[in-house]
Amino acid sequence: MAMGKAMTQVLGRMLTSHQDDGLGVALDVFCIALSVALLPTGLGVLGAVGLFGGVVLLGTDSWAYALELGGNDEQAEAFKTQTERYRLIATVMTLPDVAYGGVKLVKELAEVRELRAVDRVTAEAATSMSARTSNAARAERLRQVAERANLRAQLRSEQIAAGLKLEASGKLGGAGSVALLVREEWQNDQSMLHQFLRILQVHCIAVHS
Amino acid sequence: MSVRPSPWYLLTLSLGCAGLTFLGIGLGGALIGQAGGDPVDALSVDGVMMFLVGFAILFASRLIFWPQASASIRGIVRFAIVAIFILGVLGSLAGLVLSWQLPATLKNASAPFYFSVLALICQAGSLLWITRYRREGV
Repeated sequence: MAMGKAMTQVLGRMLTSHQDDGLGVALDVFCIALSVALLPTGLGVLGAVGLFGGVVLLGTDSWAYALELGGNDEQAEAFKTQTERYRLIATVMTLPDVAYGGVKLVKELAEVRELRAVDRVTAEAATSMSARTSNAARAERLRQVAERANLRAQLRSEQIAAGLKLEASGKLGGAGSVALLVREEWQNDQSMLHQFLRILQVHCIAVHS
Repeated sequence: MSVRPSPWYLLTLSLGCAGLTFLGIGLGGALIGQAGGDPVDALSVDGVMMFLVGFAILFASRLIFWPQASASIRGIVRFAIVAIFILGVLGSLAGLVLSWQLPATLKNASAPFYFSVLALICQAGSLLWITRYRREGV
């Protein structure tokens, strides 16, 4: 009887209040599923980092949600402020990958594009030479050269498309999460960023005087 | 382009790293609780430290310097990760036992137990990594 009453209370709290936290937990589960789905596509270490962060966030968020459903709102709030630094660290730690990986990606893509241009020139030259030559065997050889160069250029095009689709999307995701965090921190007056700026301000004034 | 580790390698490694974070919160909280403090305080010190260790394992060593590292350095890093993971499994068990013995009157007494259980669940990933996927992914 008492158990049934407690269950009704918990269900009531779940349906009436704390819906945003329930949504947060659901989003964490979604993020984990997305990371697992993305791991084989070539996102690589960034996907693994997403999974790692998602699992940690699910663990901490679900505990805060459980506290809220149990009716300990104050404890849940205290718990949530303590987990804020995890989000901050997780987001900042992806920055090296976004910066280093981004530069590397742009360089690699430029290289592949150059090689593709060389292949195309080779293919054109071989085609025109095979059209002009009178020796049939030689013309056939040149046609084969042109064909191979065309194939290579096509492969490089596919490589560029895959690089843009898989790698650049991961880097964009990382950059987007950093932007979201900064925006959230900026709007929240009690956030760690504001506290840090305040401390910095105090230090600046102290040094100045 | 460098050789990519397989999805299973990354999956088990990241689960093991998440287990390390939960271990920090669970075992740290149990120890703080045994000393009479608030177990949730472990979240801001021990948990963050293990979170950073997890990140270091998963991310920093493999990302920028890994292709340049020599075979012996790679062997040492791999051995260090294995050692940390084995300690993590043992630590999760210790955290479970210690948090089970916390007095029920303590504030937030059940938090370390919850996080120790989460840590043990995630240690399945680290055990799999040690036994099956350790040699993969350059």
